Amino acid sequence: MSGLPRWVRHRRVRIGLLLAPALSVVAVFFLAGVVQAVAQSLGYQPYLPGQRLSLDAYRALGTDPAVRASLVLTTRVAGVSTAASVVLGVGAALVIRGLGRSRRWVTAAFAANLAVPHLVGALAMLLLLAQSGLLSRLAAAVGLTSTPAGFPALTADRFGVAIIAEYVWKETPFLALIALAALGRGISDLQGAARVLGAGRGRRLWHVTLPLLAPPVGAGAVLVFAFAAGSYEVPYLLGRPYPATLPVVALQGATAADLTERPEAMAVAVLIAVLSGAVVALYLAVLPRAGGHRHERDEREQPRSAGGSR
Amino acid sequence: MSAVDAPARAGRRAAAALLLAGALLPIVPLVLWSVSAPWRHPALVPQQTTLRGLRLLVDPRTDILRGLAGSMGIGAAVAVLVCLIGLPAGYAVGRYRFRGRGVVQFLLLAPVIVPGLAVTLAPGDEEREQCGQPESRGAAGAA
Repeated sequence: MSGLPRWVRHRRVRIGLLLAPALSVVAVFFLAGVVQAVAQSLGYQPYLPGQRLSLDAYRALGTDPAVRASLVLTTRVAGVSTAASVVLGVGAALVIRGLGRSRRWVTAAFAANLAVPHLVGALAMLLLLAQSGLLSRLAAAVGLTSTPAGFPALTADRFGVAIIAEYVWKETPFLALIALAALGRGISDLQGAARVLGAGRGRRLWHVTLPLLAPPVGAGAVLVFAFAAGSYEVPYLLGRPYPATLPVVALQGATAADLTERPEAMAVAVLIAVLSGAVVALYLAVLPRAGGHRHERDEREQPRSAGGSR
Repeated sequence: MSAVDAPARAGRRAAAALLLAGALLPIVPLVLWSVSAPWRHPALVPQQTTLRGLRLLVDPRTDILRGLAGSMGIGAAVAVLVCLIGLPAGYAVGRYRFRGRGVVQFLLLAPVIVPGLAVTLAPGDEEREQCGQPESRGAAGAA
């Protein structure tokens, strides 16, 4: 640090310099986009004559049955995907952690699909779940069905089964890796302490393991929800045109030839952002409670890192 | 670890096998289709295999290899830039306590949370004039 000029060593300047590049990127590429989306949702279209700023698009959202159905579908798809991914991901992490020498390659194989793009994942789900897909062929092979139509429609269905399946397939390893990373940090000591104090297997899981996992996995779950609620390629390929998820509705409106549909499409985009933001706010409201555990752990670890003062 | 009983270990192995099967299952039809000729419904495995699809990958007429190189280039450049821009900010937020730290954290995470769709749907006027048609940008995104 002594090689740096004195003004850089000033704390405030240093923080500013470290933050400047990232904040500029956010301002230019992100905030500008948000402002434009909000402006267009309010009817800001200088290239169309006779337009004025209004909340008409938002009023239209409230009465549009397509948007209402879409809101229900989007919340359901994102909520079910997130819940299933959390349960499976934490379960997978606990299972993998209990493995012996095979732990490393099982983790690698399990996490391999993190590298698969969602677009390819959606295609794979189509080939697996469609009425002419592999599962349908398996059902026919064991005599459960005789025609493709005899197999239940899992793609382009009303519930969104294939969309949920794709998200769960992709996001479970993501959350499992987060949980595994959290489990790696000194949890054995705490487990051992709890065991010495007489805590059984179930109580150790409930009072030691899960509280340690809650903050990082919770943050991951928020990301999963926001992604599932906000991306369009998977529901576009695996869902119905009606009711479609909010991102697909926004895309339909924004790409329509009729430019007057644009404000409503932008209002849908803003609605998606608000929905994601609400989930983040909910997480942050719950976090202080879960965060308490983290601070307790930090305090416990400090004396040890200070060089065995105990 | 010495107290691990055999049934528990077997159970964990079975659970791990199940997890792996679930993770790999959707890839199976994708791989099979990539090497199969038309594959009609009740057949469990392709009746006829062909390398036609794979050969198209390296066929100079399809330009797929060039596209792959382009994608890799973009990916590598993005990874490097993101580290150069993001790591200092992460260091500042993690290392220092300062006024406005919460706001900074929120701003840095907001692009992750708010879907890209919401901020990229609205092309500017100049772009619209270049494209000629208002829907061309969105249609390209959907393709």
